[in-house]
Amino acid sequence: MAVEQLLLNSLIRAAELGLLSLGLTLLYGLLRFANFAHVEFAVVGAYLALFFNRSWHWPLPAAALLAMGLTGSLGLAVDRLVFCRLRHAAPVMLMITSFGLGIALREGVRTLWGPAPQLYPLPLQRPWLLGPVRLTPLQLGILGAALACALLLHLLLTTTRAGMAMRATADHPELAQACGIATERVIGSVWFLGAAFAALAGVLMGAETQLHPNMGFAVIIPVFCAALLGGIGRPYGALLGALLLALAENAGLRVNFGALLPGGSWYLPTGYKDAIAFAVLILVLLLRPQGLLGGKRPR
Amino acid sequence: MQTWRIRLTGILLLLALGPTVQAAQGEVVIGLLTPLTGTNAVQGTDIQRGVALAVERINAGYAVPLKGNLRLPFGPGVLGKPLRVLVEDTESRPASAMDAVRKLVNVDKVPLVLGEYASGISLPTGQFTNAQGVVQIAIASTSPALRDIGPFFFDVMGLDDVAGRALARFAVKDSGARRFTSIVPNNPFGVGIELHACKTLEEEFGGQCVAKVRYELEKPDYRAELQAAFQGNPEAGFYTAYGTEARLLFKQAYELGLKPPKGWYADYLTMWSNEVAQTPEIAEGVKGFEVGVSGDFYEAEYAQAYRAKYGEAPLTSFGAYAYDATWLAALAIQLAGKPDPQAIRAALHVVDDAYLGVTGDKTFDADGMQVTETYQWFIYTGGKLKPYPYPGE
Repeated sequence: MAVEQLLLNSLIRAAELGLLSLGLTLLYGLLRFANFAHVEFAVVGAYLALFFNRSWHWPLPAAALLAMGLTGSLGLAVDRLVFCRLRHAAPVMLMITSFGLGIALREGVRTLWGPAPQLYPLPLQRPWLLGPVRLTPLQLGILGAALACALLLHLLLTTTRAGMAMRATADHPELAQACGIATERVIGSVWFLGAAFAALAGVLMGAETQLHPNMGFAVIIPVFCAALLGGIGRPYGALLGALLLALAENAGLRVNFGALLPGGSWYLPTGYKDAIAFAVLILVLLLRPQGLLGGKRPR
Repeated sequence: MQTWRIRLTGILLLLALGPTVQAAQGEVVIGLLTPLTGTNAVQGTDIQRGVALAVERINAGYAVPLKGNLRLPFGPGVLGKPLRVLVEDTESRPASAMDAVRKLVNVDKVPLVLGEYASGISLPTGQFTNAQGVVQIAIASTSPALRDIGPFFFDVMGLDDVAGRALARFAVKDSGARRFTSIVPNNPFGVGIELHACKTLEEEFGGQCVAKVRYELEKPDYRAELQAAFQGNPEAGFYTAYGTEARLLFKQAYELGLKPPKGWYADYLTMWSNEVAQTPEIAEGVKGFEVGVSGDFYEAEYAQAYRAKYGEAPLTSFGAYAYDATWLAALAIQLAGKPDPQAIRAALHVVDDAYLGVTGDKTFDADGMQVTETYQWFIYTGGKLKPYPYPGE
C-alpha cells in the first residue's frame, strides 16, 4: 500500500482523536484535572444522533448537530451537578469521580441501546481514486468537520471576548475573576464545547465504522496520549499530538524492524497495535513530560 | 457398526426401563449460555431457537431419530418432568459469560450447561464448569484448546485442526495460490484456525502464509491490521471473523481497495453472512465452508419445523448444532436416571453412539470432542451463499 494512503489514514484517525483530545485538554487547561469521562461523551453523542436519525428520521448531519447540542448540555449539567461541588477537591478525587461518571455514562448507553454494535443507515461508501490514494466521501466529511472545528476554536480563542476569557481563566483563574470575568460561566462553556466536540467525534467514528458502547473507552489511551504528547492544556498541542500518534499507530505496524539485521524481516504483530499508544505515552512522560508545546502545570 | 448396534440395543433397553414417571413433580432444569447481544447476536439467537425447538419436542413427546433408521419414542419431558432451559445472555463477552455461568452453577444449581458459541468464551466457562463438576456441552466452539478442559466438557462441533486443514486444502486446490495472508481474531478459535491452515499450506503444498494478522475484538478501526495483512503481496487469503467485526473488516478492506488477487477463503461463512447483507458488495466472491447442515434429513427433521415455528429459514448453521446438543443432553439425563452431572457425563458417552444428529454423526471421542465433521462449500455472491463445487469433483 502506498505511503500516501497510510498518511491519509493517519489524517482521518487524527481528525477523530483530535476532536476528542481538544475537549479534554481545554478542560484540563481550566480545571487541571484529567476527565476520564470525557470519551464517554462521544458515545452518548453518537447514540443520540442514531436515535434522532432512526426515530425522528432526521438526516444524519442534522441529527449530529442536535446530538452535539444535547451532549454539550449534558457536559454542562455534569459540571453543575457534580464537579462544581468538587471545585476545590484534590485532583485525585476529581479523577476518580470522573472515572465513575464515565462508567455510569457507558453503562447507561448499554442499558438504553443494548451491547450489540449498530450502524447508521448510510449507503456503502464507494471510494474515489485520487492517484495512489482512496478516499470516501464520508472520510472527506470527517476531515472537513475536524478542520472546521479546529478553525472555529482558533477563531473563538483568538478573536472573541469569550475566547479571551477562557484563556485568561486558564492562565490565572483568581486574577481573571478579580478582573470581572465570570469564571464559572467560562468553565461551563468549556464543558459544553468539549462535550459537543466529543459528540461530533463519536458521530464521525460511528459513521465510519460502527457504534458500540465501548467505542469511547476503546480510544481513551490514544486520546490521553494525544493530549499529553502535544502538551496537556494546549488545544493546538492536542491536534498535533493526535496527528503524531495516528502516524505512529499506522506506520508502527509497517516498519520492518528486521531490516536492522542483514536480510531480516520482522514486523510488529498487529495484536500489539494498542501498545504503540502506550509506548508513546511512556516515552513522552519519561522524556518530555510537559509535551511538545509545553503543558500546563498543576496549580 | 457392530459396536453401535450393541450399544443402541442397550440404550433402547435402558431408556425403555428408565425411571420415566408420568407427571412427576417439578422440572428438570438446565442452563444455556448464548450471545443474544453483541457481535454474535445473530448466531446466539439462532442457537436459542434451536434449543427451544428441541425443548418443545421433548416436552410434547417426540420420536427421536436414532442411527440404523430407527426412532425412539421419547417423553413427554425428561424423567417424566418438563425440561426447562434457563437462558443467559453472554453479550458476546467472556466477562459477562463468566457472570452468567457462575449464576447457573452456584445459584440455579443446574447439572448441565449448553453453550457457548465462541471458543474464547467456551474455554473459560468450560474450565469453570469442569472444576465445579458440572457438565457443559459447547455448541459451536472449535478451538483445539477445548480438548484439554476435562471430563465434564463436551463439544458438538469438530475442532479447528480439522477445519483449518480443510480450509487450506480447499483454498489451494481452488485458487492454485501458494502465498496466503491470514487474518483471524486474536482468541483461541482464530489462532487455532491460523495455525492449522498455515501449517497445512506449508507442509502439504509447500506454500507460505506471508502475513499473519491477529486482530483484537470490538475495535473501532481495522485499517492498520488490513494494511499489515497485505504485506508480502499475498495471492489469496484465509479469513476468519465474527459477525459485526467481519462487516467492519470487509467494509474497510473494500474502501481501501484491499482484496487478494485470488480471493478470500473463509471458514464458517454464516458467522457473518447475515451481518454483511445490508452491503453485500463488500464480501462478494468470498468462498469457504459451512459445517454440515443440509440434505434431506436436515431439511425434514429440522429446517421445516424451524420455518414453521419461526416463519423464516434457519438464520445460521449453529441453531441445528444447538438442537442436537439439547437432544443429547435430554437423552443423557434420561439414561442417567437423575439430573446428576457425574451420571450425565457417563451417559453422554453412550447416547452419542445412538443419536442421529441433524448435523450428522455426533459421536464424542474420549475427550468429549467430535470424532468427525462434515463441511459444505459455498461462495458468497449477490448477497447469498450459493453452493460451490469442491475443486476436482
